[in-house]
Amino acid sequence: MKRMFFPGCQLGGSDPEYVTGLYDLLLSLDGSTGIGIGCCGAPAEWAGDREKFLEIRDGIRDLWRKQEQPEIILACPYCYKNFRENMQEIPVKMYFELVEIRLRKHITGTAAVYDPCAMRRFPEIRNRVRRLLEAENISLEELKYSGAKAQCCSWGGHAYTVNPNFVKTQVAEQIAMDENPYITYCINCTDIFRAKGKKVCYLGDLVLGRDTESRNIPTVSNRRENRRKLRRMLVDQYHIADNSPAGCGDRFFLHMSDALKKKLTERLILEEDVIQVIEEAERSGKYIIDVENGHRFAHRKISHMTYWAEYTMDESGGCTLYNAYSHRMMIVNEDKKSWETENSSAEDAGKS
Amino acid sequence: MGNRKLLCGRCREELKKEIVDFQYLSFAFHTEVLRCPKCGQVFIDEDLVEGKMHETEMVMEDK
Ligand SMILES: [Zn+2]
Repeated sequence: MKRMFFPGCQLGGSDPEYVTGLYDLLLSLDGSTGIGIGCCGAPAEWAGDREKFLEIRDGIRDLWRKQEQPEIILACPYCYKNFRENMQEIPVKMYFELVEIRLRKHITGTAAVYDPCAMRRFPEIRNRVRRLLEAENISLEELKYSGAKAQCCSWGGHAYTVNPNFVKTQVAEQIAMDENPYITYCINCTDIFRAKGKKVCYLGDLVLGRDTESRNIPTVSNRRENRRKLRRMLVDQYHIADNSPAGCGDRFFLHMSDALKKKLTERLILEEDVIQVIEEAERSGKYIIDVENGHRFAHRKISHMTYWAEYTMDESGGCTLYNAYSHRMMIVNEDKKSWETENSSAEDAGKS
Repeated sequence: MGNRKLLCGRCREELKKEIVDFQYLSFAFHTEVLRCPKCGQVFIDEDLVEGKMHETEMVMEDK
């Protein structure tokens, strides 16, 4: 592996297809390109949790070394800043720095490039964005605060948790700097400005030939669901090994009727347990198929209980649950091999 | 419930009726359930769980 794509935590949270789209593009340039999804540690740093930050950073370093030190291709300006400042031994590039990258969607009119705050110290990246846009039939304006004076869109530093009022005025000031649409290259700036009605054109969409305006703006819960969906897409479409630790919380979503929810509550069956049953079944292929309706039945013993789930997997990476039940009685020797051995030894004993 | 066709997801074999042993605390019982003839994967429907199995569990716990 010469290159590894590290899209960061927010791009796939905004829309998993940015990650798969860019990854497809990178694969078309070099078929051996790998991918690692996760967080670069910036949110931990913003929260002042130095320990957590160092733990995440060391994890990325380990992964990089294990993968024979590939060049890491980034999509998030803040990941870039973090890698350049805190993991200097790792060679990194923003994906649009690769010489083969072209814009597949074209725009016209007047627009202004909105530099994200993380790019203040990286003029070469800011210039690359402008060079990519030079060939386009647009007139570019420079914002009052851009380049080394780039402002924060309001996303950084967990401001929305600490001071929602600051966020409101900060966003309003940013989108009012220029009446023309902004061209952004950070997905957080993009989603935040769009949520406030600003017309924005995201560089990732131009590269992938997509229209930013036609995308939904993700809510907080969408982001979580999108990340789960991305994980499943990577496993299913690219056959990428899922190395995430069990119970990391990045699990698929269970859909079920209210009646079934009520039943699970009454029977003290946790959704967590049901998810464990289904995850294990999908990983091992050990489930039973009802031919008529395609429902899958799977069971798993967790502690002293055996849980059953009747479900189907959804296209969206989620899962629909139709029924769940549990019992304490254990199935003896379910594995046929040991069952056969025992039976035959019993027969042998009978013969002698 | 009776006539539905169930396949083992691993072996693609149709499940067949077979006697299977169950155990709870010191108590063991066996009953006929559907099972994959190849790998042994067992299917227990909710009726059996709600009926005979829960009954047995309750009896054992009352002891
Ligand atoms: Zn089987």
